[in-house]
Amino acid sequence: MDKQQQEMKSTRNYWKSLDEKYQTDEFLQQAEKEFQSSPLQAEDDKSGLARRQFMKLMGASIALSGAACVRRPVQKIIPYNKRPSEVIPGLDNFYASSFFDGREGFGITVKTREGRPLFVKGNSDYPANGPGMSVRGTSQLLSLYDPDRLRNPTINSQDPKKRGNKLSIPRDWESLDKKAVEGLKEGGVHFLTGETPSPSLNNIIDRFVENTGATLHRWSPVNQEDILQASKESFGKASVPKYRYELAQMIVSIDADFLGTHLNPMESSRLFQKARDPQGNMSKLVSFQSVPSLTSLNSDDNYPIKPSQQLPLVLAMIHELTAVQGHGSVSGSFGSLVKKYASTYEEIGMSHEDFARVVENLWSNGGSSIVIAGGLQAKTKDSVSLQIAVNYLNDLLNNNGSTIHWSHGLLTYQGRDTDLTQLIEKMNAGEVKTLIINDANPMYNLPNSDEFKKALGNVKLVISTNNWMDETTSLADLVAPSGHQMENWGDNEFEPGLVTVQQPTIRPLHNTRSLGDSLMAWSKGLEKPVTSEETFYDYLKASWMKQVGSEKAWYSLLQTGFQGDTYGGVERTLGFNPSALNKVKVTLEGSDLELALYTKVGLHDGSMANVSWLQELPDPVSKICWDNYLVISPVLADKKGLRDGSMVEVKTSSHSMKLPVYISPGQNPGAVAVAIGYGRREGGELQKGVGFNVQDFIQMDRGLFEYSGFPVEISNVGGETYQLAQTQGHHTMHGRQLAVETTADHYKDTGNVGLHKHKVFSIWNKHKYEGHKWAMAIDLNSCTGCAACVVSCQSENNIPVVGKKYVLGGREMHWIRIDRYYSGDEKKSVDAIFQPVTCQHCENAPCETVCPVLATVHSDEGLNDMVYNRCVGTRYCSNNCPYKVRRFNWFYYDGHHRKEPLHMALNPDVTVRTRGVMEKCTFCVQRIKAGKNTAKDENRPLKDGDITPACQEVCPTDAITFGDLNDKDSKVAKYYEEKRSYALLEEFNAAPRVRYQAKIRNTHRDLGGGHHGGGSGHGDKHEATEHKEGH
Amino acid sequence: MMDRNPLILGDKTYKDITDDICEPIETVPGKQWMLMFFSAKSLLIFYLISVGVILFTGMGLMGTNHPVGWGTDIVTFVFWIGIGHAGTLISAILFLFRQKWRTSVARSAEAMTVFAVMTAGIFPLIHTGRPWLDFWLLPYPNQRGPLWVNFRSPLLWDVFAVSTYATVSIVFWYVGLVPDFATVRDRAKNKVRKTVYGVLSLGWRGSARHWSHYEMVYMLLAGLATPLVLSVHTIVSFDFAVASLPGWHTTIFPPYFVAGAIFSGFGMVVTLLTLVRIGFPKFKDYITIDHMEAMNKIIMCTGMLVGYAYCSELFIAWYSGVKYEQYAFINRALGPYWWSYWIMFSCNVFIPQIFWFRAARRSIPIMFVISIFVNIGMWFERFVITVTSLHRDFLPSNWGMYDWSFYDAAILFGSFGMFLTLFLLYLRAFPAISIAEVKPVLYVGKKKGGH
Repeated sequence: MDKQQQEMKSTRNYWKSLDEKYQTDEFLQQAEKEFQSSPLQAEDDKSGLARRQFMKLMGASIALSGAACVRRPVQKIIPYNKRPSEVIPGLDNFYASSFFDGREGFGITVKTREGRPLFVKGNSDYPANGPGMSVRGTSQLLSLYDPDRLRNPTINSQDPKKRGNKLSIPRDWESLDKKAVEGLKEGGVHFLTGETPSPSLNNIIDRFVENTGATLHRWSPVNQEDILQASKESFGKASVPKYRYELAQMIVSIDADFLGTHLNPMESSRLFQKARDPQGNMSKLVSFQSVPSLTSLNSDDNYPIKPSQQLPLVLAMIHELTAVQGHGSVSGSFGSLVKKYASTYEEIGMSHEDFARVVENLWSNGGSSIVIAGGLQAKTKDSVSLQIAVNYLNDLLNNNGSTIHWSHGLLTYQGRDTDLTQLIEKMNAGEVKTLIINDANPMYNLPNSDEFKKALGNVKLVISTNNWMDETTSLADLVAPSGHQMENWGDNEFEPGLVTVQQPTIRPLHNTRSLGDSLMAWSKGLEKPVTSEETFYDYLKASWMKQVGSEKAWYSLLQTGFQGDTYGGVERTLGFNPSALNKVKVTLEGSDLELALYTKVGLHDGSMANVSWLQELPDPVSKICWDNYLVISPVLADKKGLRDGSMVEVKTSSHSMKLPVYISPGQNPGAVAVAIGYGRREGGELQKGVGFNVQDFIQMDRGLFEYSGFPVEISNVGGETYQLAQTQGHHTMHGRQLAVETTADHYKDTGNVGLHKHKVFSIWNKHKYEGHKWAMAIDLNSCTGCAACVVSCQSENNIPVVGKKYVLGGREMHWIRIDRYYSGDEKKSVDAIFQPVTCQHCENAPCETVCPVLATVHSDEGLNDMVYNRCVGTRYCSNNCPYKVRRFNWFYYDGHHRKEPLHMALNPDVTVRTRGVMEKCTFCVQRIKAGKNTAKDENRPLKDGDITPACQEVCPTDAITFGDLNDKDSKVAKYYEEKRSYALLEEFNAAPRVRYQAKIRNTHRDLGGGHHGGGSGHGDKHEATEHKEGH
Repeated sequence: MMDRNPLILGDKTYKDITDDICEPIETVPGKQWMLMFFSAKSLLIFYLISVGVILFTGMGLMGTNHPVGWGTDIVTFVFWIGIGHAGTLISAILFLFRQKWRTSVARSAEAMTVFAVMTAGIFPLIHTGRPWLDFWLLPYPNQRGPLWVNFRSPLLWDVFAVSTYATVSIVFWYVGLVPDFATVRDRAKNKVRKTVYGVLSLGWRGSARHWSHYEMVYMLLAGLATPLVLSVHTIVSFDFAVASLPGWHTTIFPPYFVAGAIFSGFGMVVTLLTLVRIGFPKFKDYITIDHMEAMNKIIMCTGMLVGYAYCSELFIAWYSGVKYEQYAFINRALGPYWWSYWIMFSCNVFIPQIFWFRAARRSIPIMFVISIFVNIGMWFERFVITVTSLHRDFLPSNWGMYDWSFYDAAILFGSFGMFLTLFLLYLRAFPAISIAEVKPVLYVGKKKGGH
C-alpha cells in the first residue's frame, strides 16, 4: 500500500476522483480493497495462495518432482555474529517472572533457549505457589505462540450503529492512536477491564481515568462479587479471603472446588496437602457438592446435594452447632430461620449421626477448621446469604483470622458483575461515547449477548486491547492488541505484601503494545500525559527504583522475581457484624431438578480456549476432552433412558438448548450441571465450534450473575446421540489391586495398608546397576489429579495434540495419564482415587524383548530407552506393555506440520518424532543428561534433587519424586522403603521402576464393604497376606 | 487291496487327460472366466489404491489405536498364512503318506498356498509405521554400527519362517510343474507359447534320468516342506504366545494354530475347487466328489480340533486362577466383542458338524456354503485372538475398542482381489492339475486292476 501511494505521489498527479486526490481514509480503504485480489499477494494471510504464487509453487513442485535423487539443497545457517553475553547456544536461560491467568496468579520461572521461551514452571522460591504450576500456567506458552493471536494494530471497518465487522485492516500505531485520541477527546469515556493485579499498571489506569474523566468498570467473567458483598456485610471490608488449609484439621466444602477451580486452586492444593501426611498430621475434608469436582473426589467423605440445599445445609450446621450441641446460641429471626432448616441433612440422605459428627469435628477443631462455599455452583439467587451464613459459621468456630484471612485476602478478584451491568445501563442510555475494553469479552461471557451488541451500537468508538479477534473485539472499531504477558513488562500483587515482577522473556513476536504503553500514548495524545516517562518499562523501573533504592537492588529483584512474603502482614481478626444475619434469606425454592453451571480445570472461563493443550486435556473428573456436556446422575439416566452422549433438550425459564449428557457417578439425582467456557464463536480457529455455548443459561439478578439453582426440565430428543471423546472408558478396578487405599484408622492401627503381596521370582540373575539407578515414586495420597503433570510433560516433550476425532479413535498422545477409579455406589456417592501412570521403566521390560529391530533397549542406569530413528513401528511393544503407556505416531505430527509460530514452542532438547514411530515417557532423559552435565561442570557428584522430570517439577503437591535408588539417602529410596509402597501389577514381574504409595482416606466408613466393582480398599480382606505365584 | 472308487472318472485315455488339462491354456477364455477375472482385477486395483493411500498418509487411517495396536492387518495376515497351509499339507505330507487322491487337487492347492503366502506377506510389510524401513527386520551387514536385529523377538522369527515357507513352497510347486510345462511346450502350435513354456520347462526332455532325478528332488522337497507346515504357523502363533498379554500367553497356541490353519486351508481349497469345477466342467472327472469328500472329512476333523482348543483355553483360563486370564476369556465370550467370539465358534465348530452326514459331505452346494463359513470363522478366530485380547488387558483405565475404519474393510476385501486375480491367471497359464501325476493313478479303483 505504501509503495502504491509513493508511486502515485512521485509522478504527476492524475486522479480519478476527489477522494483519490485528497487521499481520504475511505479512499485508502477502497484502494486497499481494490487490490485485495492482487495476483502478487493474497489479501491476507488467511485466504491461501494468490494466483501467481500458486503458479510459481506449482511450477516449482513439478520441477522438483522431476528432480529426484538430487543432493539436498544447502541451507546455510548463520551463528550469532555478536553473541549476547548471557546467551550460550544450546544452554537454557531461566528468568523469573509472573503470570495471571484470570483465576490464579503465579510466580513463575521461564526457561528460554536462544531468546525463545520453552517451558513455564513455578518459581520455587515464590512463597505462594512454589514450584507448582497449573495446567493453565504451563499452557500460556502455547497462547504466546498462538497463530491466531493478533499481529498488528487493526482498524475494523464497522457499521457503528449495527456493529458488525466487515473488514479488518492492519495499520500502524500512529494512525490508530490518532483515531483513538480523537475519540477520547469527545469525553464520555468508559474503561472496561478484567482483573489487573499489577500495582504499576493500576497506577497508570487510575491516572488515565483521572486525566480523561473516564469511568472505570472492572469485571471478569468468573468473579467473586458474592464473597465481596458478603464480607462487606459481615466484616465491613470487601475481601476475598485466603484460606490456610495447612493449618486446618477439618474442612467442609460446600460446592467450593478449591482444589480444582475455586479461587487459587494450585496454592490451595499445595497447602491442603501439607496437612495430609499419613504418618502424622492428617486433616479431614468433607464435601457437599452439586457436581463432582476435584475437591469432592479427593474428599474423605462426600455428599451430593442440590444447589438449593447449600444455604439450608449451612443453616442446619449452625443449628446443630448451637441448638443441638450447645456451642453458642442464635436467636431472633435468624434463630427461627436456622430452626426451620434444621433437618436439611435428611434431605440429602445423611444420617443424623454422620451430620452431627461433621459439626462435632468442626467444633472440636475450632480455630483450625474451615467451612468454605463458593464457585459458580454456589452462585445462586441466595449466594450472598450463603456467604454470610458461612462467615457466621466460621465466626462461631473461631476460624476467621486464624485459618481464614480476611484482611490479607486475594487481590485477584476485584471484578464485579454490578460494574458491568452499570456500564450496560449507561451504554443503553447513550452516555458512553468511547469505550475501551481490556481483557474482557462480554460478547462471549454474557447471556443474551445480542443485547450487549445493541448497547454497543450506542457507543461511538469502541477500542479493544484484546489479543484475539474475539467476539467482542470484532465489534470494536480500533484494536490495539496488548501482547502476551510473556512479552510485556509488568508487576503483580496477587495478595497484599507479596509483589512479583513480570519480566518479558521474549521481544514481542508481533506488532503489539502493552496496555500500559497504549494508555500512556493516548494520554500523551490528549496532552494530559499520565507519566513523564517514555515507556511503561521506564515508568515501572522508576517506580520500583523508588522502592528498592538502587539499580543493583532492582536487578536482584528481577533475579528473584518477587518481594515480600505470603500472609505478608499480621492478620487482624475482623469482628463479625451480627446485623449481617438479617440479610440472610432463603429465597431459592428447591425444585425437582436443578441446573448448575460450573467451570472446568482446563478451560475455566473460556479465555484460553484457543490453546490446544487445554482442549485436549482430559477433564480430571470426567476424563472427557474437547467438549462440555450435561452432567447427570445414573439415577436420572435410568429414569429417562439416557446413555452417555444422548442429546437432551435442557430448558430453564430463560433459555433452552440441546446438550449431550454425561452420566457421572455420584452426581445428585436432583441436579444437573454443565461447564461454561466452551462454544467460542470467534477469536481463533482451534476453539471455534468446540463444545456448546451455555452462557445463555446465566441469569441476572440485582446486577449479579446467577449461575446455579435454576429449575430445569430435560427431555429426550428422539434418540439423537453425540460423541464425547473420553480417554478413560472404565472407571472401576474390577477387583484388581491397582490403586490402593485404606482408611486412616486402619493404617494407624496396623501400620500397613492391606496390600496383597506377591512373591515373584526369576530364574535369571537381576541386572546390576553400578552407577545410577533411576526410579520414581508417586504418592497417591498426595496426588489430587489436577493434571498439571500432563500438560507440563506435553510442553517439555513436544507431545502433539491429535484433536477430538482421533481422541475418539484412541490416539491421544499424553505420555503421562491420570487414571481415575471410582468406588462406592454410583447412584449415591462415590470415592475416587487418582493414579498417574507413566512408563514404568521396568527392569524386565516386556516391550524390549519383542521389538524386532532393538528400537527399545535398556540403559545401564535402568532407563527404558526408545530409539526413535531405529523404530519401524510394529507396535508390538505397545501390545506387550501391561501398562499400555506407549504412544504411536499415527500420522505426521512433527514440527513441519504445525502452524507457525507454534513450532517455536518445541523443546530443542527433545526429538520431534516423525510418523510411524513409537514414543513414551523417558523419565525426561534430557533433564538427566543436563543434570549430569551441570554436576560435571561444577566438578561435584550429582545430588539428590538435581534432576527433576517435568511432571515432578510442576506438581503442586509433591506427589512425584524422582531420584537415584543407588543413593540410599535419596528421597525416592526412602519412598521405596515406605510401608505404603507397592509396584503396580507386581505379580506380572516386570519389575517396574515406579512405586506407588497407597492413599489414606480419613474416614470412619469401612472402605472394604459395599464397594462397587470391589475396587479400592480391597486389600483389607487380605491383610498383607503373601502367597506364592510363579511366573 | 480294498475296492475303491476310481480317482478319475469317464474312461479317460492318456491323451484325453493331456487334452483336458491343457485345454484352458490353449483356448481363449470364455465369458465366465473373463467376468470373474475383471471383477477380481477391479478389486485388486482398489486394493492397490487403498494400500497406496495408507502408505502415503499413515497407519492412522486404519482402525488400530491405543490399546489395540494390531488389527485388520495382522488378523488378515494370519488368516492368509493359515490358508496357505492346506496346499503344502496336501502336496507334501499326503505325498509322503502315498495318498493317491491328492494328485488331482495338489497343484491347485499348492498354487493357493503360494498366492496366499504372497497375499499374506504384504500385510506385515504395510502394517508397520514406516514401511519403507521394513528391510531393517533383515539381519544384513550394515553401516549402522553394525546394528543387528533382535533375535529374541517373535516378529523376527516370523520373518524367517514366512520367507522360508514362501521359498520352499514356490520351489516345490515349480519343480512339480516342470514336466507339465514340457508337455504344454511340446503341444504348442505357436512360437510364443513354445518359447515361454520352453524356458519354463528348463529343458525337460522326459528321459529316464530326468524322471529319476525329478522323483528324488520331489520327494526331498516334500520332506523339507513337511516340517514347514508345522513350523510356520507355530512361529506365527509365537507372535502371540510369546507375548505376555492375557489371551495370548498360552502354550496351546502352536498346535491350535496349526490345526486352525489346516482347517481354514482346506476350507479355502474346497471353495476354490468347487469354483474350478463350475468354471471348467471337464475337470469334474479329475476333481471328483470323492476328492471333495475326503477334504470335507479333514475339515470336520480339524474343526473339532480347534473346537477342543477353544474349550481347553477356557478351562485353562479358569484353572490357572489368574484373574487377568480369566477375565480375558470371559470378556471374549461375553464382552463387547461377544458376537465375534460366537461367529468364530459357530462357523468353526458347530457348522462343520453337518459333515457327519454323508449326503452333506458329497453335496457341492452344501460344502461350498460351509467352506465359506469356515473361512469367515477362521478370520474371526484371528480377530478374536488379536483384538479382544488387546482391547481389555491389565489396567481397566486403558480399555478401549477397535476403531474399525473404511480402510480396514478396503484392505481386507481388497486382498481377495489380489489372491483371486493371481489364482484366475494361474488357471489359464499353468496346468491346473498335474498331468504327470494324474496319469499313474488313472487305473486306481478300476475293475481292470492296477497298473
